[in-house]
Amino acid sequence: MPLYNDTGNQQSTPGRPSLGRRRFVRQLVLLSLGSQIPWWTACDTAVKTLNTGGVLTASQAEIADFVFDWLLPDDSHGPSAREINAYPFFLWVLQDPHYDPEQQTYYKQGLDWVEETCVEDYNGPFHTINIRQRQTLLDKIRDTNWGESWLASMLTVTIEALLGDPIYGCNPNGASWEWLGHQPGQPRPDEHTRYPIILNRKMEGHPITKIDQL
Amino acid sequence: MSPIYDICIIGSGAGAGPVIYELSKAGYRVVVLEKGPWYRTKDFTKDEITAVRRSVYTPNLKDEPQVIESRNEDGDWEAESTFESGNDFWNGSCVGGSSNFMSGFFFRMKPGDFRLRSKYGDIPGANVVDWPITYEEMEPWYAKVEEVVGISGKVVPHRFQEPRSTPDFPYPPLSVNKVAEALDEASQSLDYEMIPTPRAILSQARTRRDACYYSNFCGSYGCASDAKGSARVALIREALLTGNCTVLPNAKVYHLETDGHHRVKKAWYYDVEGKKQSITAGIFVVAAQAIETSRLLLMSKNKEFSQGLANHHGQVGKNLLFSGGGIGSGLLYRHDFDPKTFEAFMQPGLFVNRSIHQFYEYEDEETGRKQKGGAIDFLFEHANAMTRAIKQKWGKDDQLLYGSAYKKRLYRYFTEARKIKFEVFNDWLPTDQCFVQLDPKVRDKWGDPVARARVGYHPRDLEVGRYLSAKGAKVLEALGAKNISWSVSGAPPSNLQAGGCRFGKDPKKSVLNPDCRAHEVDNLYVTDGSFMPTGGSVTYTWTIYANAFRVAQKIIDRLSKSDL
Repeated sequence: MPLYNDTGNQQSTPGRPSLGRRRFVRQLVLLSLGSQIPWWTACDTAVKTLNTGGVLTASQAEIADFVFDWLLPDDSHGPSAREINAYPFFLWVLQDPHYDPEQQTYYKQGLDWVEETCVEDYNGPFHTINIRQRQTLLDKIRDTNWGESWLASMLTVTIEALLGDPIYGCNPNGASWEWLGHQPGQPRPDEHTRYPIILNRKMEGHPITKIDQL
Repeated sequence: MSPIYDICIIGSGAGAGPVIYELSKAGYRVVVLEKGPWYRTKDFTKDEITAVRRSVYTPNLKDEPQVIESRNEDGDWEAESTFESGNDFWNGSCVGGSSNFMSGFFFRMKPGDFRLRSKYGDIPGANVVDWPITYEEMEPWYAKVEEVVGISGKVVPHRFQEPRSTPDFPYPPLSVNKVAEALDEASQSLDYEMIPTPRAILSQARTRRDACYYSNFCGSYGCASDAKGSARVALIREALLTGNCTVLPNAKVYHLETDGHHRVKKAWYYDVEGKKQSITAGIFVVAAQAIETSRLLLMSKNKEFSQGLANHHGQVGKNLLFSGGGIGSGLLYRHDFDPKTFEAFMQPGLFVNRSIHQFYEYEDEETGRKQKGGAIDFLFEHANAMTRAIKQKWGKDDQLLYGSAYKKRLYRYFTEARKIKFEVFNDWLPTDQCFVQLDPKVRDKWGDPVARARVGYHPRDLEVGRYLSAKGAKVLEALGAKNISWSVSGAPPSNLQAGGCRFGKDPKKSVLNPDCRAHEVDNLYVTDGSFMPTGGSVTYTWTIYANAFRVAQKIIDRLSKSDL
């Protein structure tokens, strides 16, 4: 659907699932109901220590961390996922109470599906396979309908971290902007105007009668 | 008991601003009920996360969905909540409404737009009518918008230049990128008339408003210098200075109560805590943007108006309009231009501001008859970095790109080319398949029925869109752009809404009289784009502003004669 006068807006954002997106996600979730999450997803004592933000299991965290590296690798050409803090940014997205909860669930569900596929293919959880196997696994997942859709949504999160304002803990010092020759608009957000602080304005309902309230 | 307020205005965008401004300045007691919050200029940044990637300036679709009914692949009508689809039809829910976030491409409608039926005849399947007023009646109000809201530009003679009462715009044109000069040359080579695009953006400072500082982030973003002519800055702020105006943000009106004598006596609204409150006033003005205005009237049923307020003849919600047209683009590659020219093209911030109106009317190749065309405007792709990057993630055969391949592609896209676009505007013909009703099932967070909009289009809309898009593509080709593509579809642009409460002389075929007062309700006016029976082939905002100034004067005339 077009938006005229170049609003630069997209009709769909992660906060607002795209056309038919929510329906598609529900179908995927229903399909997955028949499968069981392996016991080690809950226990996962052997995975490396990552901040899970209270929103991921340790194995989900490990998979997410690797997926971001795979999507935006350290290849000496521009910033890597690690350099732009893609994983911490992802945790911030998952913790956001204003974000679409169904989309947050979808991100996490995809991590579990990766784990399931790993068990099917390698007879063990994700943290037990080596890097080459992990890459092969993700290449294979990308060739499935659910995998491509889910990885595309993870890439969108990565892009937000790549090109978002450093105030959100991503894109340190605007390195990605510099890499792409992109000039951010001014004024940039500060602690009073950043998301989601700006949403607090929505709760102000007092009458306005004077210009100094503008 | 006398009403506390002389006038109560529901909404605060472009359709409301002029009424708020004029009535406050004339000394009347004005109250404004705005469903959204109050964002101040200092709240607006150029943060893409805030303005584009999250629902900050628009309602959460889970709390406030709408339902859109469009044809599916089998040609049947299929309804889907915007919460389910993600297709958001809100355009800025806050004081000043969507005028805060517009790009401010401003065009007057042309004299022929006011008499579309007389000039071009009936079109089967379309409810084309003449407006009950002429361009000449609207002209002084267009001129007033140029001064009060502030429009910059330059008048140049061309085939479809509208008659003007002043020689030129009050503000000189904004600075433009070198590509504007290149577009002028490209159009000359095709014998097309390229003209400067007027903008509701100040090129020079004036009292309480700074000039544009070329931030490079205009549409979708609030203006940090107040150069953009939003209703909030240009009109409501001035109204507040009179001391006669009170704005209630977070006040969602859900019902207009009548007194049994065809007059509205109260507006009922939910306050920020969800409590029901009411406002009493002498006159009520609804300007909640087209879809929501019709919804409010339909929701305001009672014994007196069993089908909805001002809807004895079933006209409320009918003949909803969007804008027909299409979008095209091409890439200006570094290797196709000399280094100096390409670097000039890449300079951010400066505008393109070029349009073609030469095909506002053209001869149909089959019938040889003159028919209505439209406008083409040229602009750069929006500077939004994330939005541009997201579009690059799909490679050949629509396969997901990732890793080094994606990074290389991204780098090339940002540094080796710049996308130039065109947008086509032509009539979205009014039909019986484009209207607003109340959804029988879906409710908003307050438990009220949401608007359900059927968004059918007329096949002529696409024919004209294709004709104009092909012209736009030729210009891009002459400019030296590559990878040129364009598309025309019947999908409605959600940010260009009008109609639903068309004005006219016949109460059986229109909701409002020529003064935009409801035929059936003595003290009810509608001043957003709902009044438009046809939409013209340009963006609506200037016409909405102008008409609201016109209606404001009608209301003042009436009040001054103690008619109410």
